[in-house]
Amino acid sequence: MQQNKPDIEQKVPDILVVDDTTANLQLLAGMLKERGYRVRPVPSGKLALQAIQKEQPDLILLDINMPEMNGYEVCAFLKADEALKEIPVLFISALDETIDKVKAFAAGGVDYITKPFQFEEVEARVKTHLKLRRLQLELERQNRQLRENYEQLKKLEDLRDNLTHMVVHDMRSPLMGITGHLELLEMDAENKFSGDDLKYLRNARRSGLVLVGMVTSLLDINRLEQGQMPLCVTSSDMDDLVQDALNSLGSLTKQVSLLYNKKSEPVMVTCDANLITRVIANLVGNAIKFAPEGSQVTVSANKEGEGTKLCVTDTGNGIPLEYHGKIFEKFGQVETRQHRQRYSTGLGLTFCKLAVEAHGGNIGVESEVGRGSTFWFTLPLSNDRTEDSK
Amino acid sequence: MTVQKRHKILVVDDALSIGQVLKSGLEKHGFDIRYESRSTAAITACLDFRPDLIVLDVDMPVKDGGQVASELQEHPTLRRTPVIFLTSLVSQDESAKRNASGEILLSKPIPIAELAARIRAVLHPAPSLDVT
Repeated sequence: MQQNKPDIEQKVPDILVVDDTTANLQLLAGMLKERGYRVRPVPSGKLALQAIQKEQPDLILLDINMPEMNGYEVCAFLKADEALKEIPVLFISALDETIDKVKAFAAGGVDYITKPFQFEEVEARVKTHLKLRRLQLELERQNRQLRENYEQLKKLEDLRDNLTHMVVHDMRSPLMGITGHLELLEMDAENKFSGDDLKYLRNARRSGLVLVGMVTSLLDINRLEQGQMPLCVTSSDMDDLVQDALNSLGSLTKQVSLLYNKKSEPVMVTCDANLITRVIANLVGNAIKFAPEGSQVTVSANKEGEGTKLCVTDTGNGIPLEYHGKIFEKFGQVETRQHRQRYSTGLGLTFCKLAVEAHGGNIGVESEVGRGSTFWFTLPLSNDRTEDSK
Repeated sequence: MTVQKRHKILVVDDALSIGQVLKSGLEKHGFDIRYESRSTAAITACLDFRPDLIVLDVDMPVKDGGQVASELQEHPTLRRTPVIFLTSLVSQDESAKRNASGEILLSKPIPIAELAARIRAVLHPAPSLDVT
């Protein structure tokens, strides 16, 4: 990349002057040299092309009326060549009809100077076009750099996601080694352990299972994001899902006063029962974990319009409005935590959002600082989404 | 009642941690377990051990669980041996394919008690005597 960068700034600009009249050629070349430019004078179109092929000049001053190959032809030849077409060509000619100038611009010239010329004018125009060309090259270089940086970033982002996925994925086997062996110990633990030891064992297993839950939701997030999560859709009674979710939370539900408003008539939902149970468990678990001592958590499921709405309301500290969207986002959580604010565990809410959205539902929070929060999600009634939600 | 025959289960998984925990765990649940860490040795182990069911990891080096299962399918004497796939990679394709062929795909990590229950359900499809 470094080699591609034209070193115009440090280098003395190289100007090719093409004119079949020796006197003109000498005059122009001499004056430009005096101004400090590097000048290569050539007396014909053919020789001009040779000189350009040998080394690309930064600018070309080109006469039009020349035998064999005139200025237009030289210019057209250059413009047809991908490598040479960007070299600015300034025509310098005794032809002063408008039609000549139009032809010169049509051939690809950037400027037109009529002879006899004032040297100051030539110099001013040369300077301007060298500057334009330099800026153009600089812009191209910056664009290239930006594109490369962008591609690099994109690659790094993919690598990061893949790395996270790989690490988490590889954690599964050893994690099963840990939780599985603890499960074995616990099978007849009462006969083998007593008092505190039994408690330590159960705590260790519980922590292991929490870790399993985190790993599972992280991998599920990945799969939901990639659209690789197959939904196993069945018709369920929302009440069963809520009960399963509350059971899965175990003794956690005893930390607060938990109220479940069960409907007298069943609220039926069409969904992946396992996923939605985990969503409910996540929302209730969060409400409990982040609620102060003695709070109340209320769960309710209602028919709403064509679908179903489940609400988990707590009397906790509430969440400032600015975080209402962020807490559901994968990276928003990181940001939220950096401000020392925690409203959820791991990527639980991200998982909930993706899982609910995979069903065609919505998820959100209504909350006011100091007055508690209500996390809710909706599930559409129809099961039309079983095909396209995969 | 006399002691029932212990069902033989072959566990194939390249992760030693899984092998160890499944061997001890499923033995506690009353199964006779053989563990094989190399997928390439799975068929030989089957012919030697004659398992009633195979717990097969999907994601293994050299030869993955799917390939092992295909070989089992084509084998004259092993094709009827039921397989429970254990995986940490569940893609839509995989599970759709497996479910279509009536095979069971379970995700790692799984509680041993749950795996044991799934194994029993495959070996005794209808409600029957409790083996354990």
